[in-house]
Amino acid sequence: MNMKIKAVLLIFTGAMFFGAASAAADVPSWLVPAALRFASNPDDFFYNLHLDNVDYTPSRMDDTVSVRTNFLGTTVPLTWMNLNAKVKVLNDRSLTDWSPQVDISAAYGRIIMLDIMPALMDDDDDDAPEPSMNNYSIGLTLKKPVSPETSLFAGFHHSVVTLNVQLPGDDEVDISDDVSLDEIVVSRRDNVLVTGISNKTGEDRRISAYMGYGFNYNKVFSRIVWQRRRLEMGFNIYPEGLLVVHPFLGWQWRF
Amino acid sequence: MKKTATLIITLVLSVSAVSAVEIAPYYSYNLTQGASVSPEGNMGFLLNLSNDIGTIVRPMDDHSFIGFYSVRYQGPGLKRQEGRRFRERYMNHIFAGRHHWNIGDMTLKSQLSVLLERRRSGTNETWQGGLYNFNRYGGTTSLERELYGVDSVFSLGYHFVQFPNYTDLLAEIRQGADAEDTAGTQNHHSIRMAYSGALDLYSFGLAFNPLFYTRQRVAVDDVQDDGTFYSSTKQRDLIVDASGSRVFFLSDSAIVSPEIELRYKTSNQNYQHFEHATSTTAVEYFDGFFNYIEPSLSSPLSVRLGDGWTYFFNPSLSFRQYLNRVPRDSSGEFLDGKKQYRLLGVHSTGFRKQTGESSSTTLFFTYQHQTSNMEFERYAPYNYAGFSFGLRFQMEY
Repeated sequence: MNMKIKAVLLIFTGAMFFGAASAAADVPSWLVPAALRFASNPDDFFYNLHLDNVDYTPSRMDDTVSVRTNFLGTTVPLTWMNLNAKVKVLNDRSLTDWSPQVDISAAYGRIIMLDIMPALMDDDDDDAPEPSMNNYSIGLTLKKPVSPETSLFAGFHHSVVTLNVQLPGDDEVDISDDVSLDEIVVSRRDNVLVTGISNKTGEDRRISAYMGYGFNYNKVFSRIVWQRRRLEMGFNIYPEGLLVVHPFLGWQWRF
Repeated sequence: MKKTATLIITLVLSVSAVSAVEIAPYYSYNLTQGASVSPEGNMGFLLNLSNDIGTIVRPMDDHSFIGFYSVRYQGPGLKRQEGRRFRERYMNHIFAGRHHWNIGDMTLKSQLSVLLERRRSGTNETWQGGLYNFNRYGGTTSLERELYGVDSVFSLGYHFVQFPNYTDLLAEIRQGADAEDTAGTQNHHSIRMAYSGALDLYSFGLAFNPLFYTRQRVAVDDVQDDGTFYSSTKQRDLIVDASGSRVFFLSDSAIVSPEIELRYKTSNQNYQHFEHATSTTAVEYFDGFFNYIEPSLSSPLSVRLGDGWTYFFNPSLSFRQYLNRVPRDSSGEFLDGKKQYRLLGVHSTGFRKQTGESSSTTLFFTYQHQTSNMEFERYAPYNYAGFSFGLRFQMEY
């Protein structure tokens, strides 16, 4: 395996340690078991980071569109740029007293480092491995205010995370005489049911909590988030994840 | 065409009816993150997550319907513990539908429910392949009415508990049985008949819970025709619970409600002790090995401190006396002439802060101790003390 492939894999692994594992010579004692656990289930780790970027809370009553980006945990330090958009398509009580607010939401992200790495590593003599990534989420969220301060919500979403590293022809790894490794694919797609509660704690201040369940992998996860007008902070819980608690900071624009 | 018209009219009428229906949602979110410290000083993390959502629909004055879904997770938290540090974790899903019917001064409540529990007891188990996974299907019906001045509830329930992956690995080794023979031996029918009453500040209850195993046979002292120590009789258990409690208002802000409970369990299952776990040589037989009586006492105290703060203290003690189980010394030898017992205490204290209309945070500390005359602790501790502490965050409406 040449140095470029190693570099790609190092970035994958680096994602796990938020950039901490940069010096291979001074490997901390916890790094090896952590790396092995990561290697045993890499898709779950990247899927959790993807869920950090997705916002399952509904849009606020006064907003029609809101756009959010998560910057701590993914954009920084992984260069995983992301946007999550929520569009309110139906207001609360627009049909009957009990018809809920309906949002369509979608999220998309790219790891910039993966996009520019082939160009940085390419030289005239040797083709670089071509990593690519596809991650998105799309779904529907229903929200029902149950008091002036409190709303309940539920959503159903489809999420996909795919990482692909295409090895150049001369870098293929021969497994046997007939089989060679020319592509590394890490992929997960899941359908997620989310239910939660949102509580207004002041002017432009909210606290929200939700719990989600992914049907394909029996995956449970949760988020508690404190929301201001623009800034939001909180943490995600992935009980079966490599890192159970993911703190995050996000920013949103509301229209 | 006629069918279509009928359908449309029905839908319109339904929508019109729905607009007059009373609907009330219910939601509860609970996150507990804590740590426990063993006597040796080893720290383990714990995580509880639960999420309940339900809706009450009242289409008529005398009828209401409740749909309820709950998902819960319990396991290690903060960092995932796999490999040799693996700790058991489980998640369950509960789906329930309930109907309340007010008939004069009585209320008839009926419920159908499905519980799907997934357990990982080892690092090699997947959620779907857990040895102790189980599904529980069934229902309960109860009648509430005042009887001689006592608010009384009579209830009758039936559930079938199915362990789809369970197999007795030791039986397979000892008897040369295959998985097919030992599969499903934990499956059982459960019937529960209960009465509970409340009079002023007093409440009390009595419940009978017989269990009928569908495949588990009873162990006996003699080798049977099939070469095993199992007779053709199926296992049957009976659990009887009796309880009583009283509420004391110590002041405008302090309440204590001591409760005493007595549990009696009897089973026709016996115990054949083998030389060691995988041995085929039976060395000692005990009749009624699983029968016990267990009184327990608890006395939760709650004090409102103002500004949304509440202090709580929940001490509880339970003493289980096995009726025919002989304890073992530290080398595993049975101590004839003695009966095994254990005293378990779990005492929690902490503060709860109401942080909003629907949110609260609790800081808790729990001390747990157990003593027993069972001294053989190679596989499980019987004498220990430890504590746990943590934070619980709750939002509900």
